[in-house]
Amino acid sequence: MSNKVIYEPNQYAKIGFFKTMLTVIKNTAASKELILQLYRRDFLMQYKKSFLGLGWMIFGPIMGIVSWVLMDSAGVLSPGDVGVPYPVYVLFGTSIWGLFMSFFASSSQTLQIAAGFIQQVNFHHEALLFKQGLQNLTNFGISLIINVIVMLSFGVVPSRYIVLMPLLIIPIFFLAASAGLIISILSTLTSDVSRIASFFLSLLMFITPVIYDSTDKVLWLQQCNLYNPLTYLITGPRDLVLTGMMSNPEYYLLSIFMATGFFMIALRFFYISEKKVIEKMI
Amino acid sequence: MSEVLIKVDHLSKKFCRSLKRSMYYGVTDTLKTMAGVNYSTDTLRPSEFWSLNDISFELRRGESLGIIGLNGSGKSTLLRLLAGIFPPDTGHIEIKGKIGSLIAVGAGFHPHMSGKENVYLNATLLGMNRRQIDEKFNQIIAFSEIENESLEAPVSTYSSGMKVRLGFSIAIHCNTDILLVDEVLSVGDLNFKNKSLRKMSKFRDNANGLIFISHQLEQVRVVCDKLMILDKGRVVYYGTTDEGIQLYEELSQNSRAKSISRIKTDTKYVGIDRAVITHDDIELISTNFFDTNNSIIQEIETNKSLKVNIKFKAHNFIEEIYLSIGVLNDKGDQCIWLMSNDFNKVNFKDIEKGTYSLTVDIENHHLMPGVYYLNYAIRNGKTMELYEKIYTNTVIKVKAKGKQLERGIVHVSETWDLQKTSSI
Repeated sequence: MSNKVIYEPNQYAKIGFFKTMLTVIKNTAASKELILQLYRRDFLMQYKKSFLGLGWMIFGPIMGIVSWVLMDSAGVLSPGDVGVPYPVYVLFGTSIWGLFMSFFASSSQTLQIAAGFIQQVNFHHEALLFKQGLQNLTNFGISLIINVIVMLSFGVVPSRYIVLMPLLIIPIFFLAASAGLIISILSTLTSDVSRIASFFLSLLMFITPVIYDSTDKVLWLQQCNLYNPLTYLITGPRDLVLTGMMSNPEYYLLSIFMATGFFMIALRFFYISEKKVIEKMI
Repeated sequence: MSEVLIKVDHLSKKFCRSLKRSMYYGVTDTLKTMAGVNYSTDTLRPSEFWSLNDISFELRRGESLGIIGLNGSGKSTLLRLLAGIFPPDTGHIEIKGKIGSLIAVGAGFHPHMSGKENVYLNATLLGMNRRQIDEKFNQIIAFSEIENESLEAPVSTYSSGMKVRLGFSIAIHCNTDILLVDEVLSVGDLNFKNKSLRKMSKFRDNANGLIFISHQLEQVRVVCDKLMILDKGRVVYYGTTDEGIQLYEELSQNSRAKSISRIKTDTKYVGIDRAVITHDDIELISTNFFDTNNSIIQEIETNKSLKVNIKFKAHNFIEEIYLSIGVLNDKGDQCIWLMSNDFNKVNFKDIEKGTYSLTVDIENHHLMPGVYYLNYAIRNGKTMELYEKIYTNTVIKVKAKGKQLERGIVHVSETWDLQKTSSI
């Protein structure tokens, strides 16, 4: 027989911060089969009612590549000297940006995606967050393969640091999920939050050097890039893979530290609030 | 005494009726919790109400507890608190053992996945691992009676009954110590319902704990040995099942009687629920039920004599007045329908202006326990012109004699005799 379980008012808030982290890790480990089952359910089934099916996982990124290559060949974009052919530069940058946005979008729907059964069965809701992350990673993995093919076709050989991509993605996940988890809780209570968040995130791409190099831009934009942690989390892996070098590694490490800290705070917020907001889901 | 599996102490749960206030409370409570600010959850703020109020009970190993109550009494909320889906606002819940909840069958079912795939998904959601599901898979499928071809088909092609069978079968085969069942047997054919009831009884007999919510009192009687009745979030009864069911039927009758007896102030006549046809020549004064001692009554036992009285005023001459009396149940079925001169019973003559009192004596009324109300009609006996047809809000409650449970449509008095006629 399992141990005694106790339910009391505000019990999750009484648990300490670090004990919350340990509990989240324990719950996630206990839910690994559930994560895989939910991943299989949502990832494979999203293409079930489609003739192209899983082909969309390749077709989608290819369409993105084609549009950037066409715009560049037409001279629409004037990015300046970025050190590598511009399509390669922008493709890799937008892939990583896309990963950040997909981590954010999916984590901000952590509770909402399970709206159909979250009030019917009790399970560790951390599983939903990591299931979403797994889905995003799968999509990114496929687009990474296509990116490498495009790089090679432009004569750019990725550096050996490409094998570190799984590790380099982790702080991106942390930062995106920390914002997303908070949005997931608050948007259950009021729809204003997700709308405001979407608006600000759409602006965020302009102050992150995803499709441009910031060195020759106006001062205020350079300042925004300097203080934006996403600058380092996105450009760091990109530069490391494309050129084998990372500029500002100390700021990259600081961004990792900040992202990890935010993630832990967001997890704590999620853990102590989720049960209270689930009862308000209608 | 066997081990306590569930202990509930002074449990309460509140919700907010206003959407805007609910949003405001949710945001402020969440931010306060995050900031480490203590706040009380044991008082009501504006627009809040207690969905459950001060509930205490225990469930021991081998016991099955039925929970019944009218809609909105807090049954499903209680189950969600026990399952750990909602947090309590006051009080304390202790659970010893693994809980399986059947609050909605087929939780997590994806319509594009096959039945087989959904078995693995749903069972994982309910806490089983792959090895356990593999071991129980054949039993789950056998119990659900889903054919192999259907098992490979998407669940979106299943009927609602098939989904219930599959979902229930998964849940009942989960390795749990305590099972919470919330009205999931309202859908499904009779054969499956009976099989499920037997399975739940066997679950209880295997020294596990069961909490069962249902509006089907017969199912509760079969499965549960204890009963709790909730009314507006409070426990109004906790004890044996048979006594509890009888009390519940009385509570239900009171509730139905109240809704029928409402006085409509927007009608011309006091005492009328709705008037189908009215006529200026007739004015209703009163309608009542009487017992044999001519006392006005609002309750009567089955199979007793009953009198119906209607007082009215005729403002004009009415030719060969023809009267009909009806007693309807709360579903609107005409259980008693009497005409004054059917088969030459009573042939009333012409009536002049004046006040009249009509009394109809019904011997051994044969009405089943329930709530009934009166309607009547007045016609011209010669031309059959309808003067008035009125559904009144005069109500009578028929109660069962003693503690017996009444079933069916008509009350009868019977004797039982079983004799062996041959040996095999």
